Order: sequence, then structure tokens, then C-alpha cells
Amino acid sequence: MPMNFREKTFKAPAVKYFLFLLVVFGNLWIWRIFTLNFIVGTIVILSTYLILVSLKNSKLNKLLIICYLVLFLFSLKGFNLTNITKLDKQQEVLQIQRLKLYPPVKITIGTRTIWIPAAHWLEERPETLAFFRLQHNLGEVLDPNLYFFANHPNERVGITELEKFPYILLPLFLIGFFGINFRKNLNIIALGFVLPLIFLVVGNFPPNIEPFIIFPFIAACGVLGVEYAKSLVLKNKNSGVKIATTLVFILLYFLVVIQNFLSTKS
Amino acid sequence: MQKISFKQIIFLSLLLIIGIFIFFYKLNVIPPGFYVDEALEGYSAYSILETGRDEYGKAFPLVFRMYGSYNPPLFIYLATLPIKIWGLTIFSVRFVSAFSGFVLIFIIYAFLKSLRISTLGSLFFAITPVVVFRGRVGDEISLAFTVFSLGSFLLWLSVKKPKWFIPASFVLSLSTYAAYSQRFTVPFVLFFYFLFFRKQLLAKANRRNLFYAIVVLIFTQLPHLYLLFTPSFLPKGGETGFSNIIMQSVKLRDFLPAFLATSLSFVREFASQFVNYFSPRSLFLVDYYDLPGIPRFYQWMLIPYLIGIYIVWRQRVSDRSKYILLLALSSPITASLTKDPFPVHRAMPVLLPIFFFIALGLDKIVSVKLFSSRFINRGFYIILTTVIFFFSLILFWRSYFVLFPIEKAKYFAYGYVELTEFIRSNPDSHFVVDRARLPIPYIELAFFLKIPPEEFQNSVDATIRENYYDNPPFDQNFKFANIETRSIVWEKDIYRNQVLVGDNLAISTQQAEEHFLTKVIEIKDPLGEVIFLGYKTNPAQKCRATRNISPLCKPASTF
Repeated sequence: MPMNFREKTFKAPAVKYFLFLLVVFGNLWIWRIFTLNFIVGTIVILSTYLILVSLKNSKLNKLLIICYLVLFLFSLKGFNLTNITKLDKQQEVLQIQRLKLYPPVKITIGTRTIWIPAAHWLEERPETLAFFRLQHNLGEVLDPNLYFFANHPNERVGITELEKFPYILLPLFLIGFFGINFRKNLNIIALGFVLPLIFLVVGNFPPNIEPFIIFPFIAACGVLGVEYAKSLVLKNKNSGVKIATTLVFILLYFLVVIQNFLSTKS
Repeated sequence: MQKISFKQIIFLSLLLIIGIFIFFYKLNVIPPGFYVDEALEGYSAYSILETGRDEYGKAFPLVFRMYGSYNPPLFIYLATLPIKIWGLTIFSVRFVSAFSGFVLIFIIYAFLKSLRISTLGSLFFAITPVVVFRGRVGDEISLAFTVFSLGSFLLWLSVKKPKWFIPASFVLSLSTYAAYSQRFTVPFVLFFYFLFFRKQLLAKANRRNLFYAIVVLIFTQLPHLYLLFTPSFLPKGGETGFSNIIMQSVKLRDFLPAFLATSLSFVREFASQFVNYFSPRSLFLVDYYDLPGIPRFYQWMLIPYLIGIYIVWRQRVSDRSKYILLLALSSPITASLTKDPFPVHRAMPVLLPIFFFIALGLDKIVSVKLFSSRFINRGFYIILTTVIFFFSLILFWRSYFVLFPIEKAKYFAYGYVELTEFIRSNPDSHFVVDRARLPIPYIELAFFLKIPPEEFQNSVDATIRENYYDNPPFDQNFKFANIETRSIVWEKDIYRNQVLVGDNLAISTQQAEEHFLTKVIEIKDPLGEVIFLGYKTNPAQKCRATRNISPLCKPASTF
């Protein structure tokens, strides 16, 4: 049943907070955010916690709205709405070339012929340019490999990619994400995931800008996933198995974080 | 037998019309040119048809040797049929692929129906960019995907009716003869099937079916078992991602034991490739490298895709979700072990579960009641579907029929038709086609010149057919008819009366001037870029200019 596991796990505060701290601080991204801006780092962590609380109660926390407002304000650097239909030199050359490739398109109804400016519509119109630009921008942010594998195997030229979260968290993130009751928590998902996504896509940010506004939601889903995994482990009656599984998980988690760190360092 | 309703007949007729148009319209000219893999498979089929032997003279091979590798045989043997009917043409070679893509629409239709998902999905499947693109290339990929999908469909039927497990095993086993990667994917699928449905599979009432299925599997895998310990069974071992793993593990070895460093690097490499096959970016948002200006799936499909995954996860205990999940988990494993990001030709089976996610999402969307009136609701979704369908078609038309034939012509070996026409019209000239920069030109020339297979077989090293499955070294130089494909040897070739063919980097203007070469042919791609240049040599003038300094200028020269 959806979210039953959270009710169980939230009963043990020490474990609950340990898991929270493990996910929130056990990644390279939060430390990068801290080095860029300490206030943003703090708000990001607070937002993660508030998303979890809001999801638990299925009620949007007002403080969370304030946190996101601040995060949006901090994210405004690099925001460029007007650039969405602009092409760079290379794209302009391609556009000119493509405009020449279209055959004449016409519709003949009886004696009347209507010419359709297909090339103009599909290559030149601002709506078309915006459509393809938004598609590209969405592709940049809606990619699990960007957050969990430093964009491997699609590394971008000229950008130092960071393995934002340890990849061991990815299946747990997915479990957490798809475990959320979307109907009950629509406003929280809208604030924590949909709005930041729209902001990042429409904002047309340069690729070197950190999309930290998405951090709280990913981290929160990661925590939920870890809690779900914990609830599965707790179902086992053998306490030795429970302890061994937990230790192996924590050990692997830190090994992967070390691996991320070493890969990024060199 | 279930009755087909009138509405279904209308819908199936629509699929039929769309399928015929999308897979067969201008099949001989789009893709532009004729890709080297198409030429290899086409000429092999022609050779088999004419002589019962492949280009190396091997009688009915179990796998076909192709430029130092081996390709599965199913496509080639099937391609003999259209070649028999229409002759050795581009259309004949592409026909098997296109027909497979066309049939696949109906397999998907039946599959969706049996999964109790709206068959509307099959309409959009028929125009999905990656499916259509692969379906119109004359190689084994589309056929392999169709056979795999049919096998997966039968396997799904066996969840409810175990007797289907026998034909499922047969068809899945057959698919391992259609594409190299499926030799590995199919065992993974069967393993996960066993894992997910072992109770049904091992039930007492089902043991007979299981026994027969195993017999079928063993029997149909005999050719592979025969090849198992020869180099021809694993010819593409170098394409694994092992080099990436080693590179990553080197960074960790100062701090972690070598075993741990390698294991962690392997997990990261494998997982990153695996996830990439399901990434919204790779599927819906980044352009498909083979097709300009369009992703592998339409952008709008992202929404039903995410909804579909959500539904599968929510209903994960149901047989349907378990089956889709097992396909999603098993189908990308083989491709994830290779180093390339999203090589579609190896990852076609993964398109099946991805498409089921999309179809499930679509099903969910159209089942939402937006209006209280059933009539208005239905009307709304019909209009919405029509708009999305035509919007998708416009995007596809732009990419496939407008941009692709021109922008990608060069990569599809454009220009060989013109080149071979020129060679044919100059039967008395000798041609040296530079193979240093052109990808495997010999087979394109053999294909378009329709070189008699016996003649070609006699021109290659006879020892190859004796050690056929032992992967003897591949000699890239060929000599047949009035053609040689090899690197140009400037010290010698300019002293012989012949035509040197290459691209503009193989033969520069300065070289042409220096050696008194006369341009006899220039072939450009649709973008105006030079693909082939042909220069006629002038040994007499060269010798005069160099005062017969070269021994090849002497009359007694045997060159």
C-alpha cells in the first residue's frame, strides 16, 4: 500500500534522522552547493526536510513555500527568458541550410491552390525555435545520468561534470518517487518538482549553472526510498540478517561516495 | 475464436494503410545511398541465391563472415526471396526489413490487446521514429526485433496458457539467429521469466510443456553449440565496455584494493549505461544521431511514459506489470555491457518494454473522464489523438523525408550508384578505388555492378573458406572485374594507365597537378560536398616530365 512504510519508519526518530543525514550529506552535490553559497546549502537542506514532512502529512508546509521562493530568487542568476528563440552562429548556419531543403508544399482544393510555408513554419517561426529549445533544455535537466553518473555516458564538451548523488541511491530514489501518492501530494510535487523543472527549462540557463533547486526533491525521494528499503529489511525476523544488511548497505554507500569523490577529483 | 468487431476492422485497416505507407513509400531512395551493412547482407544473399555459397565460397554458412566479423544468417537467407523476385536492387534488400516492421505493428496490436492495454498504442508505434528508421534499413535489426517481439508475445501468452511456452521458446531461439546481440538478450529474458514466473513454470501440470520447450531450445541451438568454441561465436568481444571500466578503476586503485576498484567501476559503468536506456533525455529529448531533428520517440510520449512506469510500479504484483518489468530488466543488459551510449542496433529489444510503458500511459490518459457526457468525452479524445497523430507525422516528415535524405546522405554511402555507372561505362579502364578513407568500398561496387558471385568467390583467398569459422585475418584489399580496392600507392599507380578513385582528401588538387592526373568524375552529395573524385593517370607525360627517373617508365617494366 502506498506510503505505509513511512508510517512505520517515522516511529524510530534516531534511525529516521540518520537516514536523512546519510542521504542529504552523503553526496558531493551538497558540498559543492555549500562551497558556492552557504545560505543556499542551508535552505536546500531545510527544504528537503520540509518536503518529507509535507509528504508525511500530505499537506504543503508554508515554510517550504518560503524556502522555495528564496531558492528561486537565488537561482535567478543566468535566467534568460528572451534567449529562448535566439540561435547561435552554428545554429543559424544550419537553419539557413535547412530552409533550402524543403520541397514546395501545396494543397489543391478544386481550382484553388494553397501554398504552405512549411520551411518557415518548421525552421523559422519563434514557436518552433522555442519548442526545440525547450526540448533541449528539458533533456538537460530530466536525465538521471546527470544526477547519478556525472552525465556518463553523455558527458558534455567543456563542462566539468559532477556525480551529484551516489548511484547506489538511484534505485531508491525511483522507489521513493514512484511510491509517492501523486493524487494526495499534488501541490508538494508541483512545488518541489514541476515548478523547478519548468523554471530550469524556461530559464534557458547556461549548462554550467548548477540546477540546485531540484536538489531537495531528489534528496527527499532518496530518503523515502531508503526508508522503504529499511522497512523491507525490518520484515526479516532474523536480527543478524537485519544488522548485516544495514552494515553492508552503509559500507557500500560510503564506498560509492568515495568512488564518486575519487573519480571527480582526477 | 474471438470475433473481431467492425471498429477493430476499421482500426486494423487504418494500421494497414499507415504501415504500407510508412515502411514502403520511397523505400529504394530513402535512406539515401546504400549503407555498407546493407550491401554486405544484400550481396551475400545474392551470392547464396546464385551459387549456394557466400562471397568467400562457403556453402550455406551458419554465420556469415563480413569484414572480419560474423553476422547472423536469418536475414540473409530470407533476403534471397525478394532478390529472386525483384533482382539485386536496393528495394529487394530493404524489403525484408520493411516487411518485418510492417508485421511488427500487428504483433504490437495483438500484444497490447492481450495485455489489456488500449490498442491505440499500436497506431503511434507504427510512426515511432526509431522503429520506422530501423525498419527501412536493409539489415538484420528490424527483422530481429520483430522475431524477438513475437517471441516475447508468445512468452506472455504462456503465463496464462503454458502450452504457448513451446512456440515461445522456438521463436525466441530463432531470434538469436537474427541479431548478434540477441544471442545474449534471449537467455537473460528467459532467466528473468523463470525468476518471475517460476511457480507457473514449475507447476506439475506444466512440466511436460517445460520439457518440450527445453528440447526445442536445445535442438534449435545446435548450430550455435557447434560454433560455441570457434572465434565466430564471439566476434565482437572488443565492443564491451571493459576499457572504460579499466580507465575508471585506475583512478581508484591508489585508495582501494584492485578487486574492489574494478568491481565498483564495473557496477558504475554498467548501471550508467543501463539507466541511459530509460532516461527521458535519451528517449524523448535528444536528437537520434541517425535522424536529424527528432528524438528516438516523440517528445510528447514522455508524459505517457512516466505515467506508464508509475502504473507498472503501482501494480507490480500483477502478472502484466511483472512481465513488462521482466522485459525492462532483461532486455538492456546486453547493450549495457558495451561501451557505446545507446547503440540502437544492439538495444532494439529494450524498445518493447519502453513502448509498453508509453501505451499504458496513453491508456490511462484516454480513460480519464474529463466530461460527464460520454459522447463529448469520446469526441474530445478522438480529436486529441488525431491532432497528436498529425503533429507527430509532421515532425517525422520534417526529419525523415526532408532533412535526412540530404543531411545524412554521406553517412549512408551515397554516390556508389553514380560511381558504378561510370565504371560500367568504362569497361576498358582499370580502376583503383582508395579504401584507406572509404568504408569497405568493395562490397558496394560488387553489389551495384552485380559482379557474378562465382567470379567474386574466385577472387578471394581460398584458404578463408577452409578455416571459415576460425576468423582468419581480413584482407581489406580486393581485386575483381576491372577494379582494385586498396590504398593508392603513389610511387607506382601514377605510372600505369588507370583511374584513381578516392575522396577529396585521398587525392588533392596539388597531387593531381604534380602527377598530371585528369579529373574524369566528381560525385557530390546532396549538400554539395565532394564524395568521390576520379582521376585518370597520364604515365607518358609523368615519365617525360621526370625524365624517366622511375624504373616503371622503362618499357620492360612488368608493373
